Amino acid sequence: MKPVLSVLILAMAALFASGLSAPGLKAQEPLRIEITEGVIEPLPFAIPMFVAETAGASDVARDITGLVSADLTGTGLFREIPASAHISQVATFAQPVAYADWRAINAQALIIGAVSVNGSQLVVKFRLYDVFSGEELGDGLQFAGTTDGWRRIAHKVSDAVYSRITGEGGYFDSRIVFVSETGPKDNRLKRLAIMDYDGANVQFLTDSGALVLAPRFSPTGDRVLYTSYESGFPRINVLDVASVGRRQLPTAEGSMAFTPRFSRDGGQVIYSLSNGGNTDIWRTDLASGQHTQLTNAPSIETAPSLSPDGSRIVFESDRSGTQQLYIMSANGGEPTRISFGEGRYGSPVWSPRGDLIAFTKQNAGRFHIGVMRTDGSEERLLTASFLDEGPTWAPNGRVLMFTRETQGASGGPRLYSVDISGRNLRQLPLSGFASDPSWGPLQQ
Amino acid sequence: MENEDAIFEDDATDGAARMTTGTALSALGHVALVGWLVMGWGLEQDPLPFDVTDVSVISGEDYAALVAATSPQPDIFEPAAPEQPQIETPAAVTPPEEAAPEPPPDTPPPTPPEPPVDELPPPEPPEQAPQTEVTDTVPQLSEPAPVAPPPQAPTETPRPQPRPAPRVAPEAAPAPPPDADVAPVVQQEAAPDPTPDIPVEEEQDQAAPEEATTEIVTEAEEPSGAVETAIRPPARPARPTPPAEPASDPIADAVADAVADAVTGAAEASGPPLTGAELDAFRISVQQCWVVDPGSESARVTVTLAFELDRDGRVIGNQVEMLGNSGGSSAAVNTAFEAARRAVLRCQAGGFPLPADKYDQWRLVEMTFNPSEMRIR
Repeated sequence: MKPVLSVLILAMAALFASGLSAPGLKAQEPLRIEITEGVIEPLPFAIPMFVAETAGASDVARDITGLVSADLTGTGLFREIPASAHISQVATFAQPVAYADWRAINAQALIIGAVSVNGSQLVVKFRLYDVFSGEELGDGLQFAGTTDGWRRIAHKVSDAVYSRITGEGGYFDSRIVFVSETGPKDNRLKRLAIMDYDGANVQFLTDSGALVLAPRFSPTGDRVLYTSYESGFPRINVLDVASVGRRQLPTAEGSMAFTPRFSRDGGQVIYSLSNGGNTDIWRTDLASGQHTQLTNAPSIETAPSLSPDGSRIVFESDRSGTQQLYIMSANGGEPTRISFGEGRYGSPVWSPRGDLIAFTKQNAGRFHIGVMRTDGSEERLLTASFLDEGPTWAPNGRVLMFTRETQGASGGPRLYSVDISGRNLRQLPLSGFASDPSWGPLQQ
Repeated sequence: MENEDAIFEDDATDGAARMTTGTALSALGHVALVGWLVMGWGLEQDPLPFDVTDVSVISGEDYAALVAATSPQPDIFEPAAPEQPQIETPAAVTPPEEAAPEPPPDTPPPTPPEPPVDELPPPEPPEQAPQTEVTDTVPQLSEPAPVAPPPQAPTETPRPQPRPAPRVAPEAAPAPPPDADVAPVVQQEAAPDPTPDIPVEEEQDQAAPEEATTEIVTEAEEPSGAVETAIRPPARPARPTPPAEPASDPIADAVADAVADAVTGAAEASGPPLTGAELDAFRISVQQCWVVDPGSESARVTVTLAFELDRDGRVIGNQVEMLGNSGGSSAAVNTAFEAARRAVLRCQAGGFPLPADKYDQWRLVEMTFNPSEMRIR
């Protein structure tokens, strides 16, 4: 069938080519245009105040509407059209959408929601509309929880809206573990703390008795690995987030163990171990307690990070004379260097999307957070400052959070986030100093 | 003759018999159809399907109780047990559905909220400020926990330069005058014209293009402020050679080439083709509505859309379909398609600026959206 068709088409083409075609036929030929230039701008959306369906729900409805809007605009990818510009008023959740009214104010997406409160029970539902095509994007969704969990519910609404519009997962209902720092610069007290992605709900996981560094979430967010100086030497601890109980991770023999990370299934830990002045990368299986040495070189190999599929490890090494990034198989073997620019590269982290590696770069007296593809191409520096370091990926691989330290006696570390396009650099609204963020997964 | 009559009669009776069967079938069919319409239509009027998810969140008090229960300077765990702990915010996902066809299959319906509800006094509706109860309930901590603070001014690191405009477009544009509308087509303020012999222009508001820069300036690239004033000609690196024909079927390509030759060769037959300027006007009117997200996977997807225009230059029935695509996962393709469709539908506003006398030339449009140059901005 297909060859016959092809022949027919070819015959017609030949007719065209020889100029025998009828004018009427030719008019059917579509106009072909290629568009290669667009604009990069936040997508305007409208989110009328969620309808309060029960008495007394209006306060929480207002809070949830505000938080959903803040989540979306905070990405830099969306812009809210203020309610004062709305033509159409939304009085009930079920009322038909007056698309023309929303088109008139150039709202491209419309979020309609409703909130009901029954005792401490909170129910939030919403629908999302693509205004210009006049279609609903996905089905309506409903979340139920308790009133004091309203922030999480709002984040869940934001995640759903975000992923329906962008086609990628969200990251709003996620948490970050970090090192909270208080006190003067020469005597900082450091504690592990956990918070929502937006800096709300800070809770402490350790007291300030011993120096703690570099917490790392497990893939499911239930445990945290960190480096503790409780014994005087750096040792890796595992902390259970729910119970805040902790234990030391048994590692292979060595004077210092640090930069730990979980494997994707949470069953193994890769870390660096220092022994007699030489540092290499090791892996410990948590169930069997078996230790495996993955690199064996006289140089310093550290800061390992696994690819999302668990097959490869990116790490930093000074085997070339300067600190650079390398990739090897997850079971060790000959590494391939991927960073070739000027300066020193460190603390690589593999993107959860798998396509990029984030890193810290030091060059010409400045620090940068940057990304490159896994073959080292398309290197792009996103930030520049006196001291930026330690990037961590949002669960959808879209945003990086890192530590930025300011100079001077009153200076200190703070947490910042930046979109991987280099736009939307923001400081997290935390009251005190903070460092070493590790972004956890989306909560279930 | 008799024979023939007999035959006719036979046919007639046969025909009558068939008729009754046919009528019966038809009647039955109609009844079924009407029934379906009544019933089915009614069903469709039901609210759209709803997925329902339960989220339960532990309260600050519960967290405090939980933490207080375990020792604050916790003992060493037995080393062999990376046990599955209770997650601090148990997320039960039960779907009490509201006309939901089926709840998400991957959400087991376990336990509703684990924290006993009776413990909680009716929780006061949280205040707007991000103050949370967590702060004062953190156990055994001598000093006040950092409270999620009131939004603070970023005094620590003032931006060295005003940030570039939030919009990145092919042409840079300064911030519009404060009272100007932002419109795709720049218009000077027009006042009624005093000269009598010239048709009086309608009074109209001043319009200016939305403020834009020509490229993303990351912090590492040291925004110099130059983009604010100097209009840099849009960088046009060598055009990507393949015009990204999706679904590159060699036969289709050959056909397209031949057709293109034929069209250019015998163009006079149905009026002149669109001029370069006319094509550019069309192209520009779409590209200024095409919002590309360079950090997204969809920025690696090229999609080709097909649509039909009426004589006013508007998409008939707002029907835009995807002819082809290349690169990226299906989710990324879908996002790219939706963004391209929005560009077409939004910017058609009062109709695309196309010459009416060449309608045959632009009635059918195939438009390819290729973001490869946008990625590197």
